[in-house]
Amino acid sequence: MSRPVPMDLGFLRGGLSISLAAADSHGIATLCRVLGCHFEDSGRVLNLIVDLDKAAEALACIETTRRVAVTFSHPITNRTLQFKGCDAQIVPVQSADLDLCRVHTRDFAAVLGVYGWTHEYVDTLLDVREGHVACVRFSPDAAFEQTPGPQAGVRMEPGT
Amino acid sequence: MTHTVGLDQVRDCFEGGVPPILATCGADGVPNITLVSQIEYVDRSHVALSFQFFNKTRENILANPSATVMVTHAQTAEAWRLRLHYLRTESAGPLFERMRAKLAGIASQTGMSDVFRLLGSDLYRVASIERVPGRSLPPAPAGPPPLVALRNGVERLAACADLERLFDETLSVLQREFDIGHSLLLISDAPGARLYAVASRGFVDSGIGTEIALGDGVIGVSARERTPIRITHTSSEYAYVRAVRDSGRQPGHDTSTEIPFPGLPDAQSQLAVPLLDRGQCLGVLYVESSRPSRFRYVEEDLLCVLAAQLSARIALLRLQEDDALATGSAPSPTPEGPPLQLRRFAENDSVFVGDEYLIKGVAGALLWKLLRDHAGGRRDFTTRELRLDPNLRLPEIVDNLDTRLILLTRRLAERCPWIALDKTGRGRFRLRVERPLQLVEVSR
Repeated sequence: MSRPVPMDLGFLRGGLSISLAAADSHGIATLCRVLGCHFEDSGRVLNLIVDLDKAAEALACIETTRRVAVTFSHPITNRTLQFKGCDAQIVPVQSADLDLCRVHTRDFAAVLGVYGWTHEYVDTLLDVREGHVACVRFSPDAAFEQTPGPQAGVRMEPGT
Repeated sequence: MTHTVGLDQVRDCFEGGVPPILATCGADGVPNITLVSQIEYVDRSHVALSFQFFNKTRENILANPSATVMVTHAQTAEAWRLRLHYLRTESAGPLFERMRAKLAGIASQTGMSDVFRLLGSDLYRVASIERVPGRSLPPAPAGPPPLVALRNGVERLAACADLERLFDETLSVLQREFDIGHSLLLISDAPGARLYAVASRGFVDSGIGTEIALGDGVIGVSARERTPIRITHTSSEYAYVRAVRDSGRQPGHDTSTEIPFPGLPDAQSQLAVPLLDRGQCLGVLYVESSRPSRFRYVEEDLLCVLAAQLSARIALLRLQEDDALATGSAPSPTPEGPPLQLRRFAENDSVFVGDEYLIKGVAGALLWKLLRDHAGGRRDFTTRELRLDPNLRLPEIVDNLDTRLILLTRRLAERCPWIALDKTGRGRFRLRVERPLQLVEVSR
């Protein structure tokens, strides 16, 4: 089992902008927004909920390469972390996942409300739809500091 | 279902609000994802992304030029994925300067002024555009059709028979057709030299005669790079009013012959568009607003078309200047009232009325020549004789005499109403003096 990567779960649960990237076997990258996220085993496993249609290309890449990258970014502080893994798989959505996505939409809208964005806008942007979501599950094997600045892109080692 | 559209149709997603997200892939097949501060429309098949830090994205695009960026409309929430191919990085020139100015505004808006610095503009070819499926909100209600306003404006410029009228009409068009109330028109002193304001609208002080050095702020950069510069949020780096005030506080800085920049104290949006004629920058059309994001791509488009029309009219009217010879002068009326002292400092041809600065440079030398000739009994002049006067040191090509006369006319109207230049025909004017003059030469 790989060493656990640094994980600030308090930060990751705070109404963030979450995005996922995947790449096909030819090195063509694609991306989508993540609608919600939950953690297992103190963050050793991430479950990312995505829209089936919006993430169709990314899901196809994941099925082929199993590689994934995900960023969590706070719209106000700009603090951003990125996690990568190479064991991603698409797993059945749990019954609580839709509620989790709605809570995420609410929290994200509350954060963006400071800048004048409406809940209606955020609700349209994320657009959580019952029966149209999938779950991408993976174990992060690398974490990166990605907050804008000279430290952007620096790999976070366990214990940092 | 997806459908493709042209880059022009998704350009509004580049206006800021929702940060673009960029996905790349390394040579090892590992994907990477990052938020991007800025995406810039270059032309119908190219965009540029801001390069601010040496990071994994940089490493990836140099190894594998394929990338995908997702952009989102700030009003409708519509999102698009653009498949990109990295071409090169530009670290100087028009594209770089456009993005650097915008990034300064973005940094200021997001509190990242100490962190964001543009190292380069990464230029990408857009291979395809895909609408991300999903709901959207209705767009903002459309305003008046911009083409109608543009048509009206162009027609009004075409009706102007002289430069002075053309300059005023341009700013009037901005106000009446485009609802842009704060504007300034600056003319280049000569290719590569400073610009000076010849017309303004909407400011407390007109600022006529204010000078901007090439490369100074959005106006100076627009002139130097011959490209539009647009800022949607204020930035101290490009704020003229503050910069001018700060420079005035520097010890030893002589501000006695400076005319303050007239801009709004709380300007949030700025747009400067160069007036181009066969590759030369004739001047700059500048607008500003206290509202953030007041000027968007559509305003930039409109002002670029208007500026092109204005440039063509300026070039045409200069060609039509009638080089008429003086045909004799009527005698001057006798000025009345207390004498008016005018002092001329030879080192920079600056002229003061009493203790108040009036004008300097070529326009100052021009005024002094007219005043001396007037003291000798003349009052009617032609532009041709001024062009031939070796003491005025006008360049042989593009002397801008016409705009200098307009500048002089306006400064006199603002600061010295007892002296005036009255147009008496094409290429002819009369010096009107209503008070006795005392002319004093100061050697230094």
